[in-house]
Amino acid sequence: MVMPDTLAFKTARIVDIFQETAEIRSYFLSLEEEEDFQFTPGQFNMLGLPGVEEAAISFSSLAQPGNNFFMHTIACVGNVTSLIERMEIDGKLLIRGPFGYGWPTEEIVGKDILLVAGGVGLAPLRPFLLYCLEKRNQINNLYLVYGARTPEEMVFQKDLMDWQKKEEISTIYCVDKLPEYSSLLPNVGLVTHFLEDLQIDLSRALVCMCGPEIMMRFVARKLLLQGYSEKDLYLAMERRMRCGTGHCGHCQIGAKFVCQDGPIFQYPDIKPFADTML
Amino acid sequence: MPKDAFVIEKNQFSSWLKKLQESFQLIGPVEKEGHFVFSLIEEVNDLVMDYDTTMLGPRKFIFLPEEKICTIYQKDQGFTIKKVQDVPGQLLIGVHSCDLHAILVLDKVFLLKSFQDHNYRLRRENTLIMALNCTKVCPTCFCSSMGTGPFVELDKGFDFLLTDCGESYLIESFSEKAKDLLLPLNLPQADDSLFKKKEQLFQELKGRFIKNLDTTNLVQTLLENQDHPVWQRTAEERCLGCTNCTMVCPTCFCFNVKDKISFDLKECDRVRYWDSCQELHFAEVHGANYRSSRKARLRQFVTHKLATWVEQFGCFGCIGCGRCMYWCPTHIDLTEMAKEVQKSNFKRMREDGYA
Ligand SMILES: Cc1cc2nc3c(=O)[nH]c(=O)nc-3n(C[C@H](O)[C@H](O)[C@H](O)COP(=O)(O)OP(=O)(O)OC[C@H]3O[C@@H](n4cnc5c(N)ncnc54)[C@H](O)[C@@H]3O)c2cc1C
Ligand code: SF4
Ligand code: SF4
Repeated sequence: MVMPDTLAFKTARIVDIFQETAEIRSYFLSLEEEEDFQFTPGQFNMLGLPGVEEAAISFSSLAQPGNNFFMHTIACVGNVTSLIERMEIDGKLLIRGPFGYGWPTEEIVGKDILLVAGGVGLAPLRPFLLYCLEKRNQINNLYLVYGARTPEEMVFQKDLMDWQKKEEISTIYCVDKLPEYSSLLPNVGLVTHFLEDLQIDLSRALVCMCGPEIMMRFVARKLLLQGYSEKDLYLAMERRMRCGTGHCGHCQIGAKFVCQDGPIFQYPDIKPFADTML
Repeated sequence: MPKDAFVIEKNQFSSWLKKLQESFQLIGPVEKEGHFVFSLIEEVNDLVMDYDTTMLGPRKFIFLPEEKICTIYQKDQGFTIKKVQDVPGQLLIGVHSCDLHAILVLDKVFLLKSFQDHNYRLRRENTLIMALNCTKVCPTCFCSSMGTGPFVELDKGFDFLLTDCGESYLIESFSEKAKDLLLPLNLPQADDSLFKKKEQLFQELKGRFIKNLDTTNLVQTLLENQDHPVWQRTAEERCLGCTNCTMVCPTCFCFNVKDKISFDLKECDRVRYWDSCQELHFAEVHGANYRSSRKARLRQFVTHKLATWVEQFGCFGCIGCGRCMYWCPTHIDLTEMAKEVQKSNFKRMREDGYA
């Protein structure tokens, strides 16, 4: 078997840009040289530009068979992300990917699925949510609990409104502060306050969460107290990454390389190791 | 008795190396300011083959301290990538068994998981290794405990093996390339008596180790004791966070990446350089630093080398060379920390109701 090389760069062109919040934008991209670009929900790309190296960014869209479009939703926090923020339509990015193991798409049949997201953490979960909606007839119940500090900091507002109206998915949106006006009518409180009274049969539960690690800590602990089993919890871990291919060492959590063994982990696989907030 | 084993007089060995210098860069141990270092050899006579240990292992010639990964050219809003293509053929001479094992560990990291590192593969393919059975036990080394020395007991992954027999070397070849290079020399075959002598040297040396580490259940013991007080105490009392331990470690693979842009902004060299988990910012992301304490960083070093490495790569990340403790300004010794955990296994004691 010939193993893939670490330097398989591709060029992507920005097709469209959408301002999600003050600091977060979504970028619709298409690959320049390839007609077909496939990836699974939860995987990520290394996005780069000459001069600022690279940053790991998850896919926020679901791959479509036979085409080369994909979306990234990016919070502006540092070198790569602030340079990308200044780019316009037709600008070009260097990417490497897709990398990593994604959400448990093979595990959804017959399940009661609970998605829990915080802030920009909804971005990596969005493709999995769309996947679940596509396979809705195979799933029992489907929930999304999404929290942000304020309604203005919620991403994918149009999706959120669509999902709120849909019968296929039950949504609970919550914020820390109550706004004067919001079309989403969110609840007030932390996501952890809205995890009870859901119609979830613990024997067929599947929970996928993505957000600040401290949020995932409290969500996981709360659910475990409610009787969920550890193996039914999946989390998206974020660590510093310089390569994405399991070599630079930065993303290690104990024996795990987040880039290659994750970024999505089953709770019991990652919990035993030190240096997490879980 | 292996077939490809010969005797070479030391004089002839030197003149052979001079000949090889025409086709390879020779790298070997030389003396520098009271220490031994692996260095590019200009004069074959500079080689010091009876060295004890070097400051850095030979990893610095395969996984360079700093190296270009590629050059990115930006024009008409597009990119052209030029990867590193030409590296010199090199022969690493006098590599002790521990350091040979370290290279094989790095092979696992860079070549044998899911992606092959471009630069590492290129350099590794252009490297011949001439191993040398060690004759000196250092106060800090414990290769016999880690199963990596003092003699080479492998049969692949390298090219030649030397054993010092006084006026001559026993030279064995372990690759086709090595056989081809030895062929023109028409050397006399080594006989049984030489192998008996080699075995005798080996047994005698094995009994001389001062430092030992019992690796039975070590992985589990360390992973069960991530909150053991030894991490906190050693880190607070002695660790300066200087990164020396990971810089001199012959198996550390971590690197950081930096872009260097030309003045006209059209050309960008993407460069990588050795990085260390002992460095404060190593595990920092936006809004969090997952190893902000020295305790967490020191524990990462020790548990990586002696525990989590085994799940990742199927071997220990420590080859027992002792460099980390020798070059640590306060001589922090990972075997001592491991032994302290073994002695007072808090997890076990708690379960048994003692603590
Ligand atoms: C698998 C994965 C998926 C991700 N998906 C997304 C996503 O979909 N959307 C998104 O917005 N983000 C995502 N991220 C997070 C994103 O990769 C980081 O925010 C990344 O740091 C941004 O890169 P940057 O170059 O813009 O920031 P950096 O310049 O790297 O700065 C980010 C932070 O890193 C720290 N830092 C910077 N330089 C150093 C240094 N030299 N040493 C130590 N610390 C330093 C600083 O604290 C700074 O705040 C993901 C991360 C991972 C691992
Ligand atoms: S994590 Fe630390 S100990 Fe492990 S290889 Fe990297 S630098 Fe070395
Ligand atoms: S060499 Fe010693 S003092 Fe320096 S970081 Fe390593 S353990 Fe700490």
